[in-house]
Amino acid sequence: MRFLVSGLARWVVLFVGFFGAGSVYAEYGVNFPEPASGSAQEIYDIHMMTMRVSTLLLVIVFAIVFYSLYFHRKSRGYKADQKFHDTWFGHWSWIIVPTLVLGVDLTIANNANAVLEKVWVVPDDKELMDVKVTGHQWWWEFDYLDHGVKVESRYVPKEDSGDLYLREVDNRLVLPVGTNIRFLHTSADVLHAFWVPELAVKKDAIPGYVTETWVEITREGVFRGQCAELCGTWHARMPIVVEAVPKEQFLAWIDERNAAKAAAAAEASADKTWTMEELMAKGEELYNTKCGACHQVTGIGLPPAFPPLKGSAIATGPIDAHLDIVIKGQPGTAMMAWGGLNDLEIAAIVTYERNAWGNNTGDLVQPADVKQHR
Amino acid sequence: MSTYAAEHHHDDHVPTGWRRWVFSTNHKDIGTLYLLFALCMLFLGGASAMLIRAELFQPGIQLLHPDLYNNLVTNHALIMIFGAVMPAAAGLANWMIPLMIGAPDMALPRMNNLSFWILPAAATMLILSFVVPFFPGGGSQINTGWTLYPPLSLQVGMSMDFLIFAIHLLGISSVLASINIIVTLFNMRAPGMTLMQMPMFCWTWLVTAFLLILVVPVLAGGVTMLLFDRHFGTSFFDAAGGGDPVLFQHLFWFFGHPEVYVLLLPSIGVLAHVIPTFSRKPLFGYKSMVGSMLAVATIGMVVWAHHQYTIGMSLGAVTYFMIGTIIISIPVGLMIFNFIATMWRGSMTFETPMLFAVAIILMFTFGGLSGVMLAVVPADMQYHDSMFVVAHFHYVLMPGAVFGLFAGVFYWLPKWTGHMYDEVLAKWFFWINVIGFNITFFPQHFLGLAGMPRRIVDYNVMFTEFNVVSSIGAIIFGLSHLLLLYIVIKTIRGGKKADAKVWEGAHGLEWHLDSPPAFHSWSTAPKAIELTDTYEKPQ
Amino acid sequence: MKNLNEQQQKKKNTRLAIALGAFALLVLVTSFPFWQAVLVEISKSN
Repeated sequence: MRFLVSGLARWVVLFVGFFGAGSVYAEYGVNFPEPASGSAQEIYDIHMMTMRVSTLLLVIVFAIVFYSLYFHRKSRGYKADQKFHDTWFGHWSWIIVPTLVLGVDLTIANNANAVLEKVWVVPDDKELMDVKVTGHQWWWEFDYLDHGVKVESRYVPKEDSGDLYLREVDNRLVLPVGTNIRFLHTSADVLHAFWVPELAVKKDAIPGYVTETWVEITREGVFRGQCAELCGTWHARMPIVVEAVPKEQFLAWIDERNAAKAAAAAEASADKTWTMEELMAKGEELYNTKCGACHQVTGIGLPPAFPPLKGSAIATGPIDAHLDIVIKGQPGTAMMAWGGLNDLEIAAIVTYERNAWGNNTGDLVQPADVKQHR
Repeated sequence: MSTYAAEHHHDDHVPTGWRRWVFSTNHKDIGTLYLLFALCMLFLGGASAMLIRAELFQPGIQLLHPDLYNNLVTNHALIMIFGAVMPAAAGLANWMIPLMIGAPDMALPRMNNLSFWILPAAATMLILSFVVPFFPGGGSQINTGWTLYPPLSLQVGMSMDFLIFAIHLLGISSVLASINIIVTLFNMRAPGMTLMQMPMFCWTWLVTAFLLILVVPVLAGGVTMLLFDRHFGTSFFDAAGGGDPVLFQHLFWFFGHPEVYVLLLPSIGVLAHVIPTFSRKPLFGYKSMVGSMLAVATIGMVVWAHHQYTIGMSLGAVTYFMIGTIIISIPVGLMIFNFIATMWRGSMTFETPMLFAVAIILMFTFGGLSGVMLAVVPADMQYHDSMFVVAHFHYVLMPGAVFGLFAGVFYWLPKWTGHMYDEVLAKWFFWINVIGFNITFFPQHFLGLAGMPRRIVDYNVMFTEFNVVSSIGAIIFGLSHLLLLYIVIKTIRGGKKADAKVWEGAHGLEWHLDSPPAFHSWSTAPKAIELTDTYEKPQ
Repeated sequence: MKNLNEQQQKKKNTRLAIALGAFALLVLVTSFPFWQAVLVEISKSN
């Protein structure tokens, strides 16, 4: 069936003559991807079960209707049976049919219920590794609560991702196989939804709420998903890429991240005075990845939700107020608190914002200033 | 019941010019206005759908900025639901209910005029909400989808306020129309016609009207709170202020799910006339139809949260909503069964209304079964917010609502205009329309299962093939409606004269009036012999 | 059902319409606190 349908689709594509470049290389499916977790497998099974039941019912209904369409027509000289509703069937069908449908319903509900409990309730008798998943406009933040590691994950532009465009990120969500992982979902701004089909957990990220799902990954691999809840302009650019690796490799990766973080912190707190060029270069890079999605690389923003920085009162006004809003955020708006960045990163971003796009304040903010401000 | 019309000496003078339409209190004229309004909106909503499919034709962003894309997604839904389907169903109700129950007019003719003329104002607001962002200082576009979920809808510029007021106006219009229909059905039936002898179309509208006055005020309340959050510093839906973004979803879907039945039921009513007519056989199971309709409406009111399985409800809550949703298949299954049993051992002919009826039975069953799959919570963890959902609800709403309206229009068009429509062209329209629809939406099931979320402007190359097929289908499907427009215009302008009883197997009071009926019909109550001509008796 | 003259019929229609309209307003007004309560109940996490 799969080959028939996909073959047909290719044929239609060829026939009409619209042959999208690259599309021939892409693999595409007509059903769920192969499950990579216990819950995903159970969900796949219940999906196939309900689909088979539905298909069977559909075939029965179609058969009856087509039989009737063929035989009970005036052009064949068929005389309408005016007493059909007055037979025993006519009198009792109102109870027979619902009973049959109820039987089907109960079969489905019964099976679904068993799966639901396993998927829905996070097991409290097992050891869990907690990962906090925060949705942002338009990137994901993964906080490994047990390991003190944070990962910011953003889409990779088409030039660098090729056929994986919109399915590839700069920093993957690395997870160990064979471990019970609990995801804690929340959002910093609007609704998002975490969805990786192979893992089969989909949960909304709601500001002010923490919702939870759990998963135990059963095989190694790279699993790709996307944000599933409309979250504004670049909803399409919120891929999620999970890289499932053996436990040892995962721990090695954690150590590596911690070492990198320590090195960055050391650099930031080093007693060095940075030049304008250094800070501007660093700041541009940081700004474009972390701030550019909302305030735009050009600094013009997406008003009214995301105000422009170019010529804005904050970016050209007092430095203290500027640092305040970057470090603490602006409650009640989409502006989040960036205090988690180190002093050097904040200094670079603020310096960049105060001197780019014609905001020529000439202010140079050093990491030491940030440290003092905190 | 109402013989008062007999003693009331109607002025047989038919008003002319624009006054006839703007000041109209005549149910036939207002019905015509509703239907023409719906036809315009159908093309407007269709045009936005064509733009959406054109953008999705290939991966990449070719035509539409993401915000414009989301704006079109929002507008397509709102225009189709509030502009096309609901007014079209109200148009059928205005035209047919007084004819079917032997009433001289609707119970409250002036309110009838008001409930129609609110609509163009509401449509203007709706269109303004779409175009305002293109003017300087117009703020950002509505990029929330028709569900308007906060906090995203709190970020949007002033066009959201236009939309909120448009929804208020649309809500007032449909509540007024519903009140009018309920009063007409309760108070204006011909003497001797009991509730359980009403034609099925009247029953479906009675239930629909009650659903509307139960749920539309809730939506109005929800969007009002949204308006307050946006401008008056309240925080109903703002977590930072102690509010709750999920509350809006509950309010919205408490309206949104019964709304599905509001769209569906009038078309079910049309089918209950079309199928017996062309099967030349009584409607199978009148009482069980009424019963299952009441059951659908009642259960449908209490299963709204199956649209939000992913918000993180407790196990008990999702189990309840899952079982409740699956249970709806019982009354809906019984309705479909009754239709098939009406066809069974009938003497069928396949004029265009009947072709649409058969297509509805087959395709609606398909959409209903994918609905049962969606109701299963664990599996919905995968389907939710994917293209599978898009495919499902189009399979339910196109056959369930729109094809039913097409069937109704072809069925009653000769009665309204006095002319037969062009059967050959109409059959062409049917086949192109149905085939185009299936090419458009069938592949979307595969896209959803393979992992394509809905409402995305750009997609990975792995989703290309089926999107190409779907977009080609959409072109066929969209353009086929121009044929509908041509057929309707041609029928209004002329054609073979239609008899009073247009169809060989037709029954009911409306077929005892001329085609077209006089400007004031049933000014004397129908005779007893005419009242016995129903679909319930052997023919 | 008994036959009514035009005035009686109009009065009856208007009365029912006003009752239904009042009912719709009641739904509107009660929706605020009612929904808050429902929400608190069903959103409790596991």
